[in-house]
Amino acid sequence: MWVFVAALLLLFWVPELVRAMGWTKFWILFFTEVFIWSLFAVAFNLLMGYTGLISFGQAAYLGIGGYTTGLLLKKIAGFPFALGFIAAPVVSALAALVIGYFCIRLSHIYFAMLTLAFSQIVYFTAFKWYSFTGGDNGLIGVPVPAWVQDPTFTNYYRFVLVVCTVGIFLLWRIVNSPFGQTLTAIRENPERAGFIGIHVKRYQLYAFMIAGAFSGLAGALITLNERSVYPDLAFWTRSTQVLLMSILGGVYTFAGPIIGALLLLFMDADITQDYPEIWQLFLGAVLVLILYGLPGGIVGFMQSRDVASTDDAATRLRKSMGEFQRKFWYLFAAMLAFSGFFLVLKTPSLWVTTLLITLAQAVIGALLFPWMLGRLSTLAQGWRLVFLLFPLVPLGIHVLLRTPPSGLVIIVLWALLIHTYLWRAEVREAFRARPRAEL
Amino acid sequence: MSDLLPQLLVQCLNGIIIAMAIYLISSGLSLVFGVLGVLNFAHGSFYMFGAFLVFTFTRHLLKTVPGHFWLAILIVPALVALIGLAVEMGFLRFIYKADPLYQLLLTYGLVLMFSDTVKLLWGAQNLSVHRPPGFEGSVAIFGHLFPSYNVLVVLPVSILTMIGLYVFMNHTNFGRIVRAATQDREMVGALGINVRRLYTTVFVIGSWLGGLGGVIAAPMGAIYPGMDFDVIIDAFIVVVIGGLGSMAGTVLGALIFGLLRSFGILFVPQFETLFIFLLMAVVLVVRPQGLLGRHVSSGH
Amino acid sequence: MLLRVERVTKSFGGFMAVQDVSLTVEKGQMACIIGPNGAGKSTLFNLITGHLVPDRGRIFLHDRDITGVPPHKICQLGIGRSFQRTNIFPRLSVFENVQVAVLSHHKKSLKLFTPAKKLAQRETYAILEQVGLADEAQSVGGTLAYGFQKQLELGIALASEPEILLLDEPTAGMSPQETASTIALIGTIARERGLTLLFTEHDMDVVFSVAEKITVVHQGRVLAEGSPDEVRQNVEVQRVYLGEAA
Repeated sequence: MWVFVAALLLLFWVPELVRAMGWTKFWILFFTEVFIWSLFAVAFNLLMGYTGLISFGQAAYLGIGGYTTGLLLKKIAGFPFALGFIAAPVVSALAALVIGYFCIRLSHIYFAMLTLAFSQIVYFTAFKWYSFTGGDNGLIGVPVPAWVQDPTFTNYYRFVLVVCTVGIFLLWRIVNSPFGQTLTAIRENPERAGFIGIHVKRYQLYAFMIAGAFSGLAGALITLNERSVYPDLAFWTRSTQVLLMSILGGVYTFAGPIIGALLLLFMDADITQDYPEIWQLFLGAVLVLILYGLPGGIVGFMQSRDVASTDDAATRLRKSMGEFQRKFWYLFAAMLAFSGFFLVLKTPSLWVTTLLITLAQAVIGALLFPWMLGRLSTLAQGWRLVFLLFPLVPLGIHVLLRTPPSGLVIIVLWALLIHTYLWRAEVREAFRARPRAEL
Repeated sequence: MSDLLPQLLVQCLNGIIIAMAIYLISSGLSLVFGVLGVLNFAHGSFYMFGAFLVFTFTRHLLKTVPGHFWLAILIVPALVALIGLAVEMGFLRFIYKADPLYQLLLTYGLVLMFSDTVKLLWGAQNLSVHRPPGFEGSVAIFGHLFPSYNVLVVLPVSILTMIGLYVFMNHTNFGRIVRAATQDREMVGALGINVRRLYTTVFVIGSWLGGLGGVIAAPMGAIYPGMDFDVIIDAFIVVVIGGLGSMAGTVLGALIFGLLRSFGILFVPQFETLFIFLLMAVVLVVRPQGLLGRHVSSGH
Repeated sequence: MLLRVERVTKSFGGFMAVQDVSLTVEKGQMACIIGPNGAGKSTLFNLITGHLVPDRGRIFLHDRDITGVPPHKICQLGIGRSFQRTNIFPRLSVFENVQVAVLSHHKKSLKLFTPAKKLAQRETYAILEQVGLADEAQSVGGTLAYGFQKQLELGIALASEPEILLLDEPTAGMSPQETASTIALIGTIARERGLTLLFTEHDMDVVFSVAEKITVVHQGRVLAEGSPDEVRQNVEVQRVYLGEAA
């Protein structure tokens, strides 16, 4: 709990940090993008991960929200900003009510297709209705309050941070409420949910409206910064983007979409800087890998799974350690692949060197890790600490090698995995107790 | 008033040409969905490969060979079919048991990868494929000039394909098995048919059709990276309207699509794309199985 | 009369699954429907619980016509059901499986901002105790053994505080010991809660030891109805069962 508060405070002061470090303003805007997409992704995942409805047209609400705010502020002189802003989620919710009413009657592929169709209808309406929306020239020159127009972007950043935090917090409450729990029940077994007294279609529609509202809010935030709205806010590829973020991070967790958004935007910024032409290739490859290898997404991967209820503590520990070992190796392999890939990307001429370095790491790891993992399974506290601190080594190596940050990200994930497995209370206990027999 | 009829006929013919072109492209998608139950997002990529490969063959590889376009029609779809084979054997076959939406997402991942691959191999600019010699001009029909390629190549090839598919499905042994599989996959397996090989074969045929569509459509306009995204949406519309899994439905859907586009551009140029999506939405709401599709249960 | 099924008929594209079936269940009764596979037992249940709408005939609960009422309403009216193939919420914990049903029963499912964790704890645990799953409360539903899942199934059905509980083959796939303990459990719960039971069964020992009233269904029609003794001595029933081999 307090970790979040601390993190938020830290985030609040990012603009000052950026200025102090002399970094470009780009990073401030980058973070605002992360916040907005996080909100959008969490809203999207309310439908996908929590209710089991996969929408291919969620971006429609980005567009509806953005255009609502944009049109109200631009077309009606002197329209109060606050109202124009609040109108976005409200109108989006209403649109979601209408669209959802039709979409909910279908399931699976047909549901997805219909959401896609509606989203394209929104897109083309915005595109073609030149007189009203400015068509593909966009709705430009939306008047925003002076405080938003701060050239250092600090105010905008803070505003986005606050709004997104509130939005995500509300979604957090919703997801953990009886309503949210009912949604997961519907996802798990719609027939059974009906037969505990739940009017399934109605709840799905509510979920659709809530997701639409928060998506519209995200759309309004985008409009604020750009001071313009373009039809492509609602284009279907934006919907697939948020879908990818959720899958990457993990749809069955709350934080998954946020992590996914952060990672995706981060890697996007990194790759498209110098090599925009392979961004989709990379993205596609990651999607395919995730779908095959990490069905729970990254966050799902981190969490411990294979525990049966009948296991006693020792068995649980043993299974946990076994899982940990397997995942440790996976992330090692991933680390080699990603750090190598990004290094080659940055300095393609040195690809032979990079290849050799990667191979060297692979060999060292192959020799070192089995021994280390063996030592760990004796449950000696010392080795637990070794592992917890271990990621600093590859991190240091790659910082020295000047691997791009996207490559370092995977090491951070590796550290996170170790932390997730070796920091749990029961694991700490087991290491402290130190049973005499080896696992 | 006297030239209203010819005008209508012109628009009709135009619509039919568009319809036949999109039919050719969508037929593979429909076939694959009908038998495998997979809505292959990457079908547009096969189309794109077909188009770009025919460019390479006619502009570079076979440039000096007479009749290179016709040779390309023979070679290119086969190459695309090979790509399809690789996709099926390397990716798709492992996820047949998964939720159809996850299959869709996987094929979307492939779309992304293929899209950039094409860009890397062919560059990012628009390219054009010349129409084969003898078909570079126009023909006058009902007093309007049509590109002769469209009328004399696109139409016949598509109609031939349509007839060919019909004959295949209804009068060959294999076709009968395929038809049975669209109705009941498990039963077909229980009857001792090697379902795995069936799936692979059908997918390869589907990608072959996609490649053929790309080859034939290429001389009609510019080819560009991103055409995969555009065409797959159109193909989705066609098969949804016609009915997922129904080959006859694909023909009907293509006709509606083509005619709507043709007349739409004429009467409401602003909104014709909008109308097509509205029609798609209406069909999904009123009759989700499409006009000629089988009954689809709503709810999970 | 608690439940009254009056001459319901349901056919699927020419196939008569249920034909002119009538049935009554009194309050507090243990009624059982038996019949060979394909006799239409599950279809009949689906008709009662609103998952299917009869082509002809009516269904009454406490003299209130519930024909064609959607399942979620029927549940709210006091009919509970456990399904033949276990029908739980696999990725929810055992506790959550029951809790979501309890919250729905108390009409709390639309609460958006209250954390669900702490709600209805006592009642949920009471139900878990009753079905013998209190120790498994935190286990994930889908990882439970089959027998436990059936108990969970029962727990979810009980959460809606039904007046009458429909049990679709509650002992299917169970060993004799499991069958005995399941029946004992169901019997205890039924008595403690004053439940009326209507269940379908294959296991004749169970049927004749527990049921107070038996309805025999065959090829969609009612073949015989009455007390266990009456049914046992019914010639038609003997023919059907002896002819079909136990």
